[in-house]
Amino acid sequence: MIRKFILVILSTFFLALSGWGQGKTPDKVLNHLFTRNVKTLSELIRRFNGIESHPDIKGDSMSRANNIYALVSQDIDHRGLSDEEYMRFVYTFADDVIKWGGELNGTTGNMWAETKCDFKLNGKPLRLTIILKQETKPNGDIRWCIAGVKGLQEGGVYDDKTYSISPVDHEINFITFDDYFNHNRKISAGLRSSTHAIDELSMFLGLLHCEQFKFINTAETKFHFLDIPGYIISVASSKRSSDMGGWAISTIEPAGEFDKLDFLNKLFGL
Amino acid sequence: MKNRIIISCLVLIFSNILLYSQTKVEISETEKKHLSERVLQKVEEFTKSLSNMVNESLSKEVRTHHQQNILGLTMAKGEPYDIIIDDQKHHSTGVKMVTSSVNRSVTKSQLLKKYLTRLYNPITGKPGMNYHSITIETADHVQVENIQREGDHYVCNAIFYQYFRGKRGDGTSYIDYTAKRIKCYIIPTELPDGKGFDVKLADISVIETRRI
Repeated sequence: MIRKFILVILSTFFLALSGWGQGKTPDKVLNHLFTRNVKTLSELIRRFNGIESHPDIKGDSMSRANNIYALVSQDIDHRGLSDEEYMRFVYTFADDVIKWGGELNGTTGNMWAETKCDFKLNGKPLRLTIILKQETKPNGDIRWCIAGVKGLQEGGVYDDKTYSISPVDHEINFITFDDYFNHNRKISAGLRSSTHAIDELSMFLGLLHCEQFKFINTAETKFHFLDIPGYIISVASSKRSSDMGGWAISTIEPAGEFDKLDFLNKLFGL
Repeated sequence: MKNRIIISCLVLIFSNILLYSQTKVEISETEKKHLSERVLQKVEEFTKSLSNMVNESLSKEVRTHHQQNILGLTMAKGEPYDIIIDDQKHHSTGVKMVTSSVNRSVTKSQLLKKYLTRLYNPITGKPGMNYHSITIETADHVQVENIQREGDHYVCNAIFYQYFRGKRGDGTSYIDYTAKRIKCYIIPTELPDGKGFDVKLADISVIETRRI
């Protein structure tokens, strides 16, 4: 009886022990992907800045340029260039980065996040683009802040049309506001003065107070870096299955200072 | 007069020190390493418990225990919670699991508690998904990133890769590799032998990317 009891106890113990050992996988492919892939934006920035290296890249004089090249998405638009020409373009870009001597840094005010989000307004789907920038708070913390919103007009939340209120209404103490504000919400934004434009960010922040406006999910996020002299680069989640959703440079655009201003204007939908 | 000047100087120095300590946000590399190790331990415990929870060779009691253990590792055991950020109380409806895929642009969010029950239902002893059995294994490494102060606590991300195999009743299998990013809260706590840190896991982003 005692022997049986000890056997049961021991088998339970070994079973539990074997269970604990099953967490790790001997799968070499998965382990290799983990060390190779760019799993976070911070990791991409460290590899770009030469602080860390892709495990398969040799630590020689070409290491930094090769690392930058390895960060570029394999699905990047070659802008009409052949594979070989585009490779040369990327290496020229890498050389310019090295000559620049600076580094990608989220705290310079030149890093922007652009994220497409799905909302529902009165039960109807609405996709908006939220633009964020990093700011250093008075206590020194670096945090993301919303700098702009796009898509309210395209989504039909308001339009360019303006409406007006009859002078008759002031005689009745503007009691018709009830009609305009509570029963004709779609046109209420059009009651603004023709000399006043709608600020989408303010409108968005106002909508957030409304119970009928609900966030559903984020669909896609991109980061734009404008620090590198002569270039704008964007980083997005890689579409390659072997990259497992890791981050990659999705665009490299040659850009002067004017182009950068133009880029920011377009980013904000101006 | 001399004494007054000395006292004023001392007050000025101490107020500057106080101001510096209030605005200091960066934590030392040694502190970061220590906190990383604490996060690593918790995430490894999480991944091991996840594997054990779906492990059919273990008893129902042991698997249920692992499910409870996973919830115990998370903020408020997966229930709604409040956290102070920027001196403001933030409410969360519970730890969420957000799944996305390169094949679809839409992400899906669900409570971790619900997701765990889909993987293993402690009442039936079976997965709630359309699989007869599930195997989950984790890659050798866990990466801890971006440890930073957020008011009275710290936050960071941990990244790990997992191998998922779901066996259907007809004998066919679904296999994929998934990358998971998890938000972690590091909360300073008072312990009998001094100050310590409690690590709690929070929202998880699952990126289904590589189907095998």
